[in-house]
Amino acid sequence: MDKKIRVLVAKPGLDGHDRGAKVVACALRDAGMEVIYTGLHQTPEMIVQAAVEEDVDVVALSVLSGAHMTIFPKVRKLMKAQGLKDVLMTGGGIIPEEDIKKLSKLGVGRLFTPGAPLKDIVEYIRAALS
Amino acid sequence: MDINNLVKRIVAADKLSISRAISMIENNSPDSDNLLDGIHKYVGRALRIGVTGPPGVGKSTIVNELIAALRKRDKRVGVIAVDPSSIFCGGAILGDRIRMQKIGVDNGVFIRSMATRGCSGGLSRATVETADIIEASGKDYIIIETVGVGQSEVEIFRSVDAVVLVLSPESGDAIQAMKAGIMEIADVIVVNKADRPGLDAFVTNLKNTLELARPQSVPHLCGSSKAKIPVLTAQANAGIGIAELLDTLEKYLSGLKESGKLAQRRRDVLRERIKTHILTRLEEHLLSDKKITKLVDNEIGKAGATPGKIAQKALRVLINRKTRKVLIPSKKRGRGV
Repeated sequence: MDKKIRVLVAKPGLDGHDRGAKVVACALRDAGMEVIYTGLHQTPEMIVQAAVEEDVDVVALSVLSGAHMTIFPKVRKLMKAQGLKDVLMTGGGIIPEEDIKKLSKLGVGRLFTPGAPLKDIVEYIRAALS
Repeated sequence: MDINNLVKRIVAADKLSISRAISMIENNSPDSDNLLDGIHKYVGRALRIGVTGPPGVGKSTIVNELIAALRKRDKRVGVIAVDPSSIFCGGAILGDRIRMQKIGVDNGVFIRSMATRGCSGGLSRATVETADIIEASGKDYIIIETVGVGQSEVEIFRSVDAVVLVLSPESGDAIQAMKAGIMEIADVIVVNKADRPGLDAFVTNLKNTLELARPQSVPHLCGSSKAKIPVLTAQANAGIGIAELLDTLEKYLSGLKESGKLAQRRRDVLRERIKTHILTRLEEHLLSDKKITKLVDNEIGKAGATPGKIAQKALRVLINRKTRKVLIPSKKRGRGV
């Protein structure tokens, strides 16, 4: 068996700032992971369909638009409905601490905010999957 | 996991089952042979199209438009898009999906991205088997997109029914370099980005090159040596030229079918695949066999031990009864079909 960690990196909604997502995608690649990058303007349905078809271990969303309280719960719900209960959901963006707590209760994994070292993201994913 | 059950769910087009089955193949799971045996009878009906060409000419964009065009004709489509793995860290950015979003959420389409994982022929080891899994879920067409290729990544030719080579007017002098390698395997050539300057000159040059450089001896299994390779133009990001491409491909494939050349080509594809299977098994075994490594290390430097003689000695050890058991695992009860 030669299993690779597969990660879906997606930008949901109308938010057009994808530099952060690209930087994270490259860091994960450099850590030896296979990163499926779907690009901008994804609907929750498209994200979950891609996660199903690509058999990813991780779904990572980048949300800088303030819509995180809508998008994360919706994607999480769709993931559960599609049988992706065991897939780790993580992400990052400009997300207030109290929202991170609320999302955590819904089953969303760790969320990273501006300034988070790339190393932490890589280590978090590795630890969560091991 | 119960393989029979998994096969049933794949045939019923359950996306998650198809997806997990592909991972089994890709990760070289011990059950993958049984799985492939199980779906074998559902494979062979779909037409397989390869899309290849240099990086950045618009392969993914063309595939995106082909998916949409095929859906309009009520055909179900499977797509495998291959991107390169890093030789340093083993990681990969699989970005072909970015361009394949015209259709959105659709149960008649299944797209899977794959990393080459060390294979150098423009595909990954598991690409053809993955095509089988997706086809077994009831697809009419399977499109395989290679990595951006240079000159010698011609493995796609041995994996599909027809190869579409995508170029752009900027491919320019690259054509010269490609004469012997990738140009030979094209069944249809599309010059994309037709709105860019230099299109006419490029197409004229291309056609001239094809007439001169296509050796009669190429064991091309499709058209006769007299048949000209169709050269089409397209502007895929605007959807221009795609219907013509699909018409050309359909005509070409039905011609292949009627002449019996499709069956011949598929036999060749199978033969190649079986060969690869055998070699992969042997290689895995060889690499994990410490006895062989030790034997080779011991022999190197000994008086009169030539590379050829050492290899023969290793082969004698390798091909014994015990090895046979390792290489040909007996089927466990209750598995397989």
